[in-house]
Amino acid sequence: MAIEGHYRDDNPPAPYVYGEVYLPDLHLHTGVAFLVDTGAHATSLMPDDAAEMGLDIRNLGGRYQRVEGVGGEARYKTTRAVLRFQDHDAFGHFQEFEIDIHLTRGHAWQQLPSLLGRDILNECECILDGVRERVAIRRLAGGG
Amino acid sequence: MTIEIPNREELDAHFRQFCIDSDYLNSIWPQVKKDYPDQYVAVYKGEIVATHKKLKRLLAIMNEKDVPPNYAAVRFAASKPRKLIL
Repeated sequence: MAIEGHYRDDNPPAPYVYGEVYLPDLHLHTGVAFLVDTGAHATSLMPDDAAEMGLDIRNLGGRYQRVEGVGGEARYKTTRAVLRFQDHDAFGHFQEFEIDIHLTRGHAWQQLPSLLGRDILNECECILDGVRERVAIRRLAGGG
Repeated sequence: MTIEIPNREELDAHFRQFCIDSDYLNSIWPQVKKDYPDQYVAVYKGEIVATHKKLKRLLAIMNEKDVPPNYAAVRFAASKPRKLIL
């Protein structure tokens, strides 16, 4: 029942997992390489990945909210999302999470990775083994 | 405009293809960085289908080729290591 990821050749390498994002209210879906980020309070879709699914958050209803980061303040909107990850131990099975995903306002030139945050990670045990470059996330709470 | 809602089988197939293409892109990444420095690179069904330094243009090229951007593996091949603190 583990979601397996990998380390990418960033400098230093960083842990990623592949996920599928489905936005039921917008009928949009896309595949995303998420950076596993225990520092992010919520799972966030960055502008490049939003653009790939044809989403322009300026056209989305609701007000912008604020979030703080090392680079300063950022703005985001939220929408309902279903995230699915392949279960490495059972081919054809998926781990599914329903969350309010953060859609971050920004520019494509920033080339920021989408983030897998604590709204999902806090339901899981996570192995981030940088020595063996192994990433494994196993859901312990909140469904299966 | 009619929005087609994918069924579960289609979603599963798209997602599996995305994972396969992402793994493939990772496997050739050192060469991609040499061949396409500072460009976005899109892989779909096991081959590089588009490259461009601007994401907007890359997505347009993919649309012209009937490649669905939401299920291709797209990544920016930065020529210099980027330092991120998120």
